[in-house]
Amino acid sequence: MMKTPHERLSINAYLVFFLVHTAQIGLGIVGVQRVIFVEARQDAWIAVLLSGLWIHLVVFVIYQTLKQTEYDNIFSLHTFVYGRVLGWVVNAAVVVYFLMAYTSILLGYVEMALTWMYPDFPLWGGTLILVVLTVYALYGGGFRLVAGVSFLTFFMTIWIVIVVFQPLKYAEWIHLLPIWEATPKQMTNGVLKTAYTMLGFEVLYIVYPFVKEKQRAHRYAQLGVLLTTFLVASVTVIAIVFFSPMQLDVTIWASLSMFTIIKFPFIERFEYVVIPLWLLVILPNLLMFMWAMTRGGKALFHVKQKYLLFIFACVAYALALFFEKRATINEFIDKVGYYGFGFSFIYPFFLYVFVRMKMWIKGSNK
Amino acid sequence: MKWLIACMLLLSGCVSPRVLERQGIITTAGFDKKGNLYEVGSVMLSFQTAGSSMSEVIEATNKTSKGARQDLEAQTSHDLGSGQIRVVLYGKELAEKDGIFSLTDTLQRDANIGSLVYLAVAEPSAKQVVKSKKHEDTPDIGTYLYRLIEKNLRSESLLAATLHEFIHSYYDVGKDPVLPCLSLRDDKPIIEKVALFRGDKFVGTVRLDESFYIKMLASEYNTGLKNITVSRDEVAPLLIKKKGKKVNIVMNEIRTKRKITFVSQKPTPHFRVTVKMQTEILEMSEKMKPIMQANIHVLERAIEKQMKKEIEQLLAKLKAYKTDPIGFGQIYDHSVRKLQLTPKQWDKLYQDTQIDVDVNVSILRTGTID
Repeated sequence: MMKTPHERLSINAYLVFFLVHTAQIGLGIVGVQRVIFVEARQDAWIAVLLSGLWIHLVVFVIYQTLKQTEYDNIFSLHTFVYGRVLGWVVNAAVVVYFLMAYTSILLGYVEMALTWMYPDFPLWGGTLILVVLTVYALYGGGFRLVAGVSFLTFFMTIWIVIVVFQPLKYAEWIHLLPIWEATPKQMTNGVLKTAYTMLGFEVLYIVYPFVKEKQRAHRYAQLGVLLTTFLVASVTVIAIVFFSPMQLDVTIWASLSMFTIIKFPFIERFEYVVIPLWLLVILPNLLMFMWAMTRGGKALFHVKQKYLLFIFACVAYALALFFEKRATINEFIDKVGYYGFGFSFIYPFFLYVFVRMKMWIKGSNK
Repeated sequence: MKWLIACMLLLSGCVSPRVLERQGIITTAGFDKKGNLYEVGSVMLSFQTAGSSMSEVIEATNKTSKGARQDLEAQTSHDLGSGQIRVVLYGKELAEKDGIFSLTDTLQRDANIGSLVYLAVAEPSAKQVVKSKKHEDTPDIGTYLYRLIEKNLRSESLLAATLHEFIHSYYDVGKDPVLPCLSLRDDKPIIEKVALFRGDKFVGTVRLDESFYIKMLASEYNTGLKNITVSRDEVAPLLIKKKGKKVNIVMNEIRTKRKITFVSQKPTPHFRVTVKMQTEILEMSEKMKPIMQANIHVLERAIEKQMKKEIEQLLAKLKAYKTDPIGFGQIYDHSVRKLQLTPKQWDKLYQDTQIDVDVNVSILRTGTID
């Protein structure tokens, strides 16, 4: 069992809303439409809603799990449930997952920025900037900075939502018909494919011990998820009515392509505003996952988080250097989504059962 | 941490700068085909330090459009930038024989180019239109063409023509794109017709007064003029003279609402088109009795009858061209469950499709006099 973190390090409950929401929204929402659409066709938005419902349930279960002890994060829970050796292995797997998620965001964002804005800039340069930025932020700030960044970037970017509805002037609503044509199998695949976009709520496992008013954290986490589901479902519906089906099948960054028709008298190509701005959207993701990694590393190696920060940053950067082509990056992101689905959508239920069982056994032993 | 900031600043300097005076901004590009090769003519706009700008037409021939772009670079001391491209023209012959999808596809693929570029078909060839010297008071032909299309799109019967809409209709099963057709009169590019496409291939044109109906049926239509000719018998109660030619009526400030319902699938697809139109009368070729509540319906019914006839003629013409710009196929595809319509299937079904037209006109005003 862990001790509760220092008062100075803890955060207000309402910040959980921003932490969960900004950890969820990131790179996925830029191109999620095609990925789901390929599976569930015009019912893609239903798949998003279903996935959202599922996440609400998962967040509830995560909260129930964490409520058992109040002071534990996922790493100490694993040691508690699985014992020292097996627990170490499972924790290592979780850290690897965070590492992959972090790297996928690095690659995905840089790749997007290069395609749209800086075709002559090398991939390694872009990723280096982002890695350096993460290290710089976390070295000085730590967890309170992560919370602050999500709070600030949320307000700096949420206004984009207003603009997102502008493509509706080209909308052909008939594309949504007939509703519920997808077979259960297509729908399941659709839900599975939303995973990468909706991931991030699992940070609750690590953030929770830092929250001051624990009983209120749950409500805010649910609200964060609700907003995410609403946004992802909206952009999905808009993309379906904006593009024709076969066009959406080949559009990689549907949200960005929709921005190309937005025009203001003072700025003609709105996507050139959105892409740099998107750095603010993925920044909380990067910081959150890196911080989660160092948290896990601390549990694994009992080393100061500061040193781990440098080590993990180097590892992530080295990993990112392996990638060059879009096809391989896509495959990598797909894989992260797949593991993420297992870890965040399914595993919390098992963990809850394990924790309850372990506690029950311990209780009856006494 | 200082070295980190320094490192970030240095890295962000890696992106190459662009100096305005060294840029040649392409405002329009025209494509034709000669044998296997694309002939490209581009209008390049460049700015001098003194403040004035100049435009120049440069031409190149190559196997691909981007290859031609490279040849263009060899002909100028400026860096060509295509971010400001406004209008892309395709020669009629190229559009008819080869189709233009591969050329629009590369525009879409290029992140430099926005989705609101206007596309158009040029007659007799794109090159001739681009080379035209008559562009009113605009600095170059590209800007002229852009404003010409934009204005006619907004206020007249011209149909939507942006890159986004073209690609959208091209990919949509059961809907075919349309583009404006530019032609030359006394060497000045004008819009007289609308080009119809089947897939990405040009199949024929309709006059602007016919495209009025396509626009009306494909979307909501606001403002614009429409001239309609009705026979004398139809409006007999209103006429003062009993003999003469047909009566011409010009309507203004037209607002329409259309509804297409899918009635039945078998034996052949059956649609019902209902158009509700509100308008005011601007001109009549003949003196009439004052139009009052009691007799206004005579005029309305006469217009309805004529419009219905014209719409039916147009639909027959579209069927003959085997093109479906209104998107009946799309409605069919989305109304029938468990159906993956293919363009081929729709081609066959479209010929037998039954379309009932129902027009409902109401005249709101008759100008400043009755």
